[in-house]
Amino acid sequence: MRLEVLLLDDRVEREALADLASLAAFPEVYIQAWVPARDVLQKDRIAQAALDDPRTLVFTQNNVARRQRLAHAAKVARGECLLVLPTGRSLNPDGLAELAQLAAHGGPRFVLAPGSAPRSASGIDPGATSAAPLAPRGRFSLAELLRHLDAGATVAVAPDALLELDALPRSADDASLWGAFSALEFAAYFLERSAGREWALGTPLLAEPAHSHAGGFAEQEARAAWKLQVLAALSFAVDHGDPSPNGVTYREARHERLGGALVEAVRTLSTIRNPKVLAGLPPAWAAPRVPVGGAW
Amino acid sequence: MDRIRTAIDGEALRSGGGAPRVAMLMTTFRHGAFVGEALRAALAQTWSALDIVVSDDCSDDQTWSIVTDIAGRYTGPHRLVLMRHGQNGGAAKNLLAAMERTDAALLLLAHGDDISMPNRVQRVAETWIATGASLISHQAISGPDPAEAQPFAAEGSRSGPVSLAALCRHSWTPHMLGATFGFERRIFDEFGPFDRARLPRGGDHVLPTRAALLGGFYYLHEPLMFWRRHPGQMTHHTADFAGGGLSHAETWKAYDLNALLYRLDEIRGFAGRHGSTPLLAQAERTLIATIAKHVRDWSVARGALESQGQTLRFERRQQQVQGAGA
Repeated sequence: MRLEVLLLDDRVEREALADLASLAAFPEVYIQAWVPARDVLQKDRIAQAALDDPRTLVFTQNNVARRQRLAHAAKVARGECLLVLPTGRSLNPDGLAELAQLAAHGGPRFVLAPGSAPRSASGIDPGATSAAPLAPRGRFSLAELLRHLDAGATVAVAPDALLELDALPRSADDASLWGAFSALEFAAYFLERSAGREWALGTPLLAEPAHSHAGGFAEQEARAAWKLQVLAALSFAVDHGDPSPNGVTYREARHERLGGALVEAVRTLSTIRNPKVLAGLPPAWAAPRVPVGGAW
Repeated sequence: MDRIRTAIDGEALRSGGGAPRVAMLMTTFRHGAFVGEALRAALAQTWSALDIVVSDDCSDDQTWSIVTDIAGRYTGPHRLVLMRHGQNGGAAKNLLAAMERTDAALLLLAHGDDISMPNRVQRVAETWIATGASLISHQAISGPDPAEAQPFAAEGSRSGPVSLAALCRHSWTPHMLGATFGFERRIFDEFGPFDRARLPRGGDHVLPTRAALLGGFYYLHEPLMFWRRHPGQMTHHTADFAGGGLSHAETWKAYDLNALLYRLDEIRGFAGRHGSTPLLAQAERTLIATIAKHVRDWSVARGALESQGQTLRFERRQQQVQGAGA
């Protein structure tokens, strides 16, 4: 399977150009670069940088909601699998090699890769993996999904799965959830409809940042929040979803496990945010001064 | 529930004679504009067996000079204890330090920016004696100005005990206004001081649960305090009150969730120390369901903010004020 990398979230120009440059080392991937419409110069520079690379498509975000960006990305995708690249991250060649072999397994629509491979300042350490591989490789369960979210597991999906999701009717609640991170929908979708077409890689798809294995506050907070959002979507699916095609009623079977996972995810997020509150720093949301990329 | 105090002679208690000693803990920090009224209201309390502990957290305004001036001229019956910290240590430490300066079994919070009605201690103490509750909260009127204050909890509310099961269905309600709390010292003896690394803010969310696990939590629907709203109060550090509705919702729900988690841990800890019961097990399940509901509400707000391209920041605001609170 061939990967298409999406630079979907806001980046400052320096970050966008650096991420594009790092992808030059992976000629087998396609690239979509989404740039803020408000920054014409940035768009021009990125477009210029992409001119020499026919693999790269450049789009303007134009204040389009993330869900719409994802849906459009899926419509124009050339690869068989889509991955949103977080800002400042790079790919792991071993993970790409393993992904390429998945065509032989029927082309799964929902791919889960374990946490990042460590990377030294001089480059990716070949074959090294900081997180335990998903075991056994191949099909995975909800329990494995939840466990590996903790370790920064990466989710990639087939474009047709994304389009099918986009076409589903939605309640107001799930539309808001979609607005957060696509992984919410993928996870709920996986639960309800995708059984049998999921696949876990044994190798990370992403390499860790060169200079920070732990990530800064924003990255840690975003990752913990993302997991909690996934669980919120699962909780919603459990309470309101129909029984799955294979006859499992999630409400009874999953609630207990989900409750424990929710509590621990709240704990993780609180552990990250509490020191800021303790330091007397009140929280507030605002338009980004330095855009930060998200991750599925 | 522990009802041993119901054997105490009610008539004697109403007059304050032979009554258990009660303390008001007036924690202050940069309350120069308000502390005069607050302290005079404390000194005017009708309950005679009263300690008033004023503990200032190294205010750099007129707070301390106002306190000492009023105290120097006081000749009434209450035992007045004044203390001032050499450096600012935060509201939680300030409260614990104040608690150490009295041996009263019932402690009433009295922040330096709020005004207690003259019968506040009397009514809370009488309710404590009659019900055996480990924590009593009450109605307040609130606003920036006492002359235009409005009832804080819904006017149709009723006095009565609030069960553990009922508490676990909510994160916080207006019946849990921390500024109004009167609580037994044993709430801290049993559970210890708050672990501020895990609960930087939100003691008022947690104390009623602690109380419900001991002698009970009782809400008294009588307006016994003016709870002052002003930009510097500590409440404004818990969430984004100045931003849009979504920003407030995300930050407030995250604050709620942290306190819900702390409450869950305390129930589990209590069950571990004293043995689990069907009531405790049910409380735990109810609280987890409440957490799930709040996670969804939080997620909706967060998702909407992220889809707008907004990011979360923790930044010191222009006016750094650290008021007193549980």
